[in-house]
Amino acid sequence: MRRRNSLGMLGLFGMMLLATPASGDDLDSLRALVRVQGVSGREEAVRQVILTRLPTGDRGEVDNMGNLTVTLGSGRPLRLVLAVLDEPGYVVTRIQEDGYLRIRRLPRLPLPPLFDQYFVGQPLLVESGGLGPPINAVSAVLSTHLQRGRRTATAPPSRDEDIFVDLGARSADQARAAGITMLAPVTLEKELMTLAGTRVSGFALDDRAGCEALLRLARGLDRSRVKGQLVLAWAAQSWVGGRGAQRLARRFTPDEVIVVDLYAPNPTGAPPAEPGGMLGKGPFLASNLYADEGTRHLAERLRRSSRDAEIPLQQFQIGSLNDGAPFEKHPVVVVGIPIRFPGTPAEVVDLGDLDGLTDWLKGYLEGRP
Amino acid sequence: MNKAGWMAVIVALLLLAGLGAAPRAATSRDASAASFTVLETLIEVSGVSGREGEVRESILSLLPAWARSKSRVDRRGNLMLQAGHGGKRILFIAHMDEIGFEITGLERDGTARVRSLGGFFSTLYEAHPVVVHTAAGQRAAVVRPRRDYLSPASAGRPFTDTDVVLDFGTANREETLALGVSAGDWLTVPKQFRRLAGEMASGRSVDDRAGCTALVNAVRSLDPDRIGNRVTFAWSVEEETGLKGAEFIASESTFDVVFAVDTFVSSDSPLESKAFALGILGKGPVLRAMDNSNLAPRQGLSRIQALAESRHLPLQIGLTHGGNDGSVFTQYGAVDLPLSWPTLYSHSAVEVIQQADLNNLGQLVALLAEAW
Repeated sequence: MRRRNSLGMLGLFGMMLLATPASGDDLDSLRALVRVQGVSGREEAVRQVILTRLPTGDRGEVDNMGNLTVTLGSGRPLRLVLAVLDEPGYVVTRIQEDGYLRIRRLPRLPLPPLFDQYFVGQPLLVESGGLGPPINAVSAVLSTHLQRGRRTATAPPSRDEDIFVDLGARSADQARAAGITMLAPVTLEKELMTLAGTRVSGFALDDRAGCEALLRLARGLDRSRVKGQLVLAWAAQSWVGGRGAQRLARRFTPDEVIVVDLYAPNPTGAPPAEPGGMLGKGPFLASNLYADEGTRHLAERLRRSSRDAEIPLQQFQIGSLNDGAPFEKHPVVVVGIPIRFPGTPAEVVDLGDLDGLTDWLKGYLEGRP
Repeated sequence: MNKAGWMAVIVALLLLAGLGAAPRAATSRDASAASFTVLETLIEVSGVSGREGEVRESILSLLPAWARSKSRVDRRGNLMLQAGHGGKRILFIAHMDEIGFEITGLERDGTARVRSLGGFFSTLYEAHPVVVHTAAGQRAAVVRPRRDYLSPASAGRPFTDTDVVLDFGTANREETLALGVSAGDWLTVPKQFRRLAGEMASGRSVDDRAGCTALVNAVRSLDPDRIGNRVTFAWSVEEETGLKGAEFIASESTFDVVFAVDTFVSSDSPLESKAFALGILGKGPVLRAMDNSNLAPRQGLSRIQALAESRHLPLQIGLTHGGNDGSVFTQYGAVDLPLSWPTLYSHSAVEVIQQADLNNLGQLVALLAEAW
């Protein structure tokens, strides 16, 4: 059982949390990370999954933005490895008199144009206002039979404000009695699906797979070999403007930053043969087009580490560091694994790539060979 | 007896009445809950048109021993149960099959193409996981989003069954074949029954596993020795692809009255026009008086209403779209009187039903079997 102690305040809302023994295999861990709700600003459940699986005695720190950090060692160099906690999702903005809920998508950043459509006519989960499990709901959809002869038969609602969430309540009082509160997070009911070989699929694998990579580092690193201080950071509120990462950039003055992200190397406008990059060809190292000397050296050290460990790398250049942007005055690189169909409930990754990423980073942070 | 004595008797009678009332109330709740228990079992098995075997086995397992011993499966795959002697020839029919896709072929890159079985919006499958049912067992796949799904221009286009591409995570046809996947395999969404607030529930294939449930519940409550008519319960195949199972039954047997037990597609939703098909969830079963396949005769409707009223069973009446299995029997001289419950979001992954409606529908079927 995990002991949860509030050991002190970090900023206004910060706290420290003690972890319990790690348990379960890696797929169980990734499955748990995919299943839980974690819309921006409400990442508690994701943090809980991570804390539950940290090695005994590791102290998890939660700051005012919801970032979870685990610090190993002390002194210099200070290396910060970062992954993203949150997922794109919705919150309840209105409880109608007829019991239906109206919702608002939190990220207003570019997402697939049909992102809202992926939530229509699907099972949903709404966070309970109490301590109970999430509340079952569905999103309303036109009945096939009733659209015959209508010109709009297959026209999907195109915006979040067109979505009606039905939890079975037929009055506002009934909805509230079921535990619905204003601003309660709303997500798809998510599950990790095992595809052929080492492929898995599930919504929010971007960036729960990154969260899993950091968790494996926490559990698998030979800490006696880690020089200086290592901060493992699970950043909150990424999908609403990278706010968690911005806060981390003010809390720490790192000597190097490694952002663990999922990436589709082929951008919009040039449909690739395999959307989302080459799965199964290993982790990637993305170079910033405008990298300074420190970043170039960091990238080279990482390349050397992968060569030494004989882990194949996919390499390409990027124009934006995403959550690494607040650290651009420091050496910072983006690493990760390719993802297929990003931004959809059908996101696919390769567990072999995830293994390669974890082994690569572990070797690098342990200073191997 | 003195005043105290009478008071003691009155208190005892009240206690007895209370003790008697409590089990009755509990029984009613239990029966209602049992409706959803049966429905949950039937929803969580899969069976697209022509592949109803698993559903049929589940229904058989839910029937009482007397009914199992009298059941048979006809050459088309319909599950038939006949009970009672003499009187009128009455058929209650609900369909076992559900909508879905069938794999038509594998591509060189390991993906698969499909065709739809039944009518529905393929858009609801885009970029979602599916379960492929193969001879080697179930396999997970995802339906790829449209190729240029990141482009704003892609959003305005329809997405039909010809756009559905299954991705198993394989790199070529050989890898997909090695999974045991081949043309002719079929797929559904991951099947799960979910309870909602307001004694409602949701899942794929409420249409028509709820009808199957109503028939199962009716059979469970009937005493076969007290059925005065020659009653047949049929769980049919291939309704969604053209009432084929029902047509086979109609060609083999003759009935005076057919009660098709199937969905009343309701407009009781914020997305639909309330001009018609407004069956309110929680207000009872629905007499599906008119649909695209049948106009039920007024005399029969009135008789059902009178019988339901005599047992204080709530009942709605309405018109909706869609066809029903009973309609094919009218060409052979039978009267088709479709019975329904109101359902929301038809043919989606999240069809919604209310528990008391289903419970009352089962009671109505039993009543008609006994008293028609």
